[in-house]
Amino acid sequence: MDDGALVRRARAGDGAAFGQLVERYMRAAYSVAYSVTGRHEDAEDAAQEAFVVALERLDDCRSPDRFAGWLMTIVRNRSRNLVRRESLRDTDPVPVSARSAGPTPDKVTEQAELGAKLAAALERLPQVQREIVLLHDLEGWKHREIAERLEIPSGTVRSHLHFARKALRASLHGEGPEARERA
Amino acid sequence: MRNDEKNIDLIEEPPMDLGSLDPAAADDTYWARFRFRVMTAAADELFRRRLIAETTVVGVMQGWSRALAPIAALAAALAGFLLFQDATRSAGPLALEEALVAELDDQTLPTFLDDGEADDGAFQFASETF
Repeated sequence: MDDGALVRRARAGDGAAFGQLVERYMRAAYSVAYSVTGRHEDAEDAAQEAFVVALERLDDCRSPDRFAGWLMTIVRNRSRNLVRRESLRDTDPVPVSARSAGPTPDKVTEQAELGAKLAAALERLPQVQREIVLLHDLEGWKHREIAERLEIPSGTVRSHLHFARKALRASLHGEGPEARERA
Repeated sequence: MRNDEKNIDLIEEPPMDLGSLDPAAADDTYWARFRFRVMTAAADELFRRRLIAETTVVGVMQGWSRALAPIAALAAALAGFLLFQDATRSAGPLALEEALVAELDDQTLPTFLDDGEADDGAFQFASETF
């Protein structure tokens, strides 16, 4: 069933239809939220909140067939609000690397370290590049899907993806701006 | 030429392995729990929407008729009972107005005039009075 039909059924309170929309876009919503917040916990909260807000405002979704793009806008806004609230609260965020602290198997530790490095490298990218590289390389969305759902030209998606990957590799291999500063 | 080179460059940039950022990498049940939390948080709104969707114009009318029909039947039965009681009840004392007109011919003026007595009567009345 396509998004439009699912949205129309969810509008009438069909839980199964809404569940399918959640299933279809939860990973992408998380990725978009992560690209804004840069923190797992915040991304999770923002993405979950966004789904509930989307359901509450489902009647405002003028083009049900373009539900994904509309949802991602909500995710982005919720994530930005969350970051703003966090910064106002003025608390020290838990560093990504601290999540894996404690006696964990080597592989898990290694994975967590790599994750922390990637998170730090992603943080240096422009938000739109972070979003695109996460949607493409983590969630497996195709250029065309990203272009349609984020409503940007396909060529722009390719270009952003290219520069994002290049910058990430440079950061991970110590060729990023920080490495150059240290040198 | 430069554009072609650029395009080739864009295509050749291999994907990044971002698997370590996947929250499900260390927890297979992560997305199932994520979905469950969203559905739990959305339960009230889904219920509200179901309620609104079921409340159509026909539904409202049916709802009203369901409540109204027994009440109307009860009211009709009560009214019938009261009327029956009224009819069987013995006549009570007459009111003053009723006593004044009781047992009088219920003859109206036009009827009186139609009987052919109108002219004589009127003249008689005039001559006797004036």
